[in-house]
Amino acid sequence: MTEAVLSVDKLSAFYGKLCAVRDASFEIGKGETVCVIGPNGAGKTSLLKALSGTLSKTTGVVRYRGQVAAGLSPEARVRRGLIHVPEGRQVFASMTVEENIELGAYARRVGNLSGEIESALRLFPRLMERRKQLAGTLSGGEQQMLAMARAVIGHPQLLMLDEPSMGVAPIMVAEIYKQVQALREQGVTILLVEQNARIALGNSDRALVIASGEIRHQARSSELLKDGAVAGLVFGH
Amino acid sequence: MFQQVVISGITVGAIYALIAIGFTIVFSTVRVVNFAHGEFVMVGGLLYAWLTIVQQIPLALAIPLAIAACVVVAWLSYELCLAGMNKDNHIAQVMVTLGLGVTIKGLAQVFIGKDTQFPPSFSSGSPLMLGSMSISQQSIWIVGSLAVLLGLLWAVMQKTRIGKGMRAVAINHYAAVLMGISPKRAAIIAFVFAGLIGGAAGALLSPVASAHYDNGMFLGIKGFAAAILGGLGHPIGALVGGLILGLVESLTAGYLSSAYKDAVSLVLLLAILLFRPQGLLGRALPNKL
Repeated sequence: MTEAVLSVDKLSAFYGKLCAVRDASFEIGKGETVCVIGPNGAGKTSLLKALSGTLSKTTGVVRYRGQVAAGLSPEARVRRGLIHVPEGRQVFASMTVEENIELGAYARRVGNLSGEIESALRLFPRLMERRKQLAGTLSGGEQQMLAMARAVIGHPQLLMLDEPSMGVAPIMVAEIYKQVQALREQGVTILLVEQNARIALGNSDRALVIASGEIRHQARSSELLKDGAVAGLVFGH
Repeated sequence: MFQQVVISGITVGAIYALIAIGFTIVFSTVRVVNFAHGEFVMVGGLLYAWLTIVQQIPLALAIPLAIAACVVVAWLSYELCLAGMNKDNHIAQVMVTLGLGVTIKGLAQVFIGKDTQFPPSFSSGSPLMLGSMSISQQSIWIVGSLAVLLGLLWAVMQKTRIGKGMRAVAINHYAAVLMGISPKRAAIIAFVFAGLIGGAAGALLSPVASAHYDNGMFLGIKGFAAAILGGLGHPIGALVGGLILGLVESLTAGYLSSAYKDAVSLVLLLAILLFRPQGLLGRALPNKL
């Protein structure tokens, strides 16, 4: 591992008094793809929310690109390239596909985006066809593609993807993960949360296994795919 | 007679629409019904009257000064009262805006006075005659200002980065934060627009209806009713709601009795809330999982 893009030390995150993530410690190196797997309600989404700053009640230390993240607002984190594609896509339903993508570059404050919007649309041909359509009229898979394109135009230094396969037709899952692979090849650092462990392990370098808010296991993804003992924990059989 | 009633209805309706826009823009970005908004309108009218009558400042200077003061009042209202509050406690926020309204009214009474003032029209001159209709110059100012301000607002919302950011906050607050848009900044701009358009509405109305420190609540209720009628959160709804409310009031006053005009407009509001609570233009947006 070269320099760490993200280093997390004893991070806990709370909803009121409820502890959703407890004492999580891990690092992500530059260019690495790390997946977080575990059952529903294990704290995967809460972990991402704590890292993007949208869940603000946390303890512990998060360093993002060398800087302590505690003092950074969610907006400031986005400006520094920490981009979070949330669970359930969260596209701007009553805006067009193009407008959604344009907002992905909001924090970068660039004047003319038309060229970049074109190349973001080119990632997913289905979006290109629907560029003038309202985002709320897209299918779940198309909305996920839009959420990805909207993140890519923000020039992520660390891209956090929350359940990109959830509620998406299998053929579209393949298309989405093709772009995840392309981003990995371009050297984008990725933190991937997935309830589908086979997909997650097949598309990552390392894995964090999380259960009941705690990181139970960290290993190389390829090893976990082979390891029968962990498979029971991960795949639930 | 009918034409004259319609013209007066459109004039009053344009004022209601301007007030309604202030409710709508703050509601959609900050998710608060700002019950102090009527006081912004009152301040615009009262300051315009005070500057022209008491301070003898020329109109061309008094109008922008009164509006600028309203912008400052609106901005301070957000910054001092709402910015630090818990976003999820809507009841507390609404109570704070009510208290804020009383405070603004009290300050206006103490510092500007209790007298009813009759400031001059924006331009003097004889009314415009169209066939048998006579349209006062101030009516033209009012309707023209509505068109210009709506056009300006539309351009900012559709074409500028900051306007697109505000729409994003209105549509999906959480996603907007994830795009790096500051909801606080969007809220400040919403209040600035509310102050600007509300202050203009107050200044425009005062030559027709006089200016008094106690007018704010009444103006606020009319604007709020117009916003609800058209669909709270829709700028075009505010326009439609304002014009309908103005016309209904004017027709009631013209053909029934002016004693009933407030009753009729409130019955209209009640009917909308009962049968179409999302307002005339409000609709459920498509939103898939």
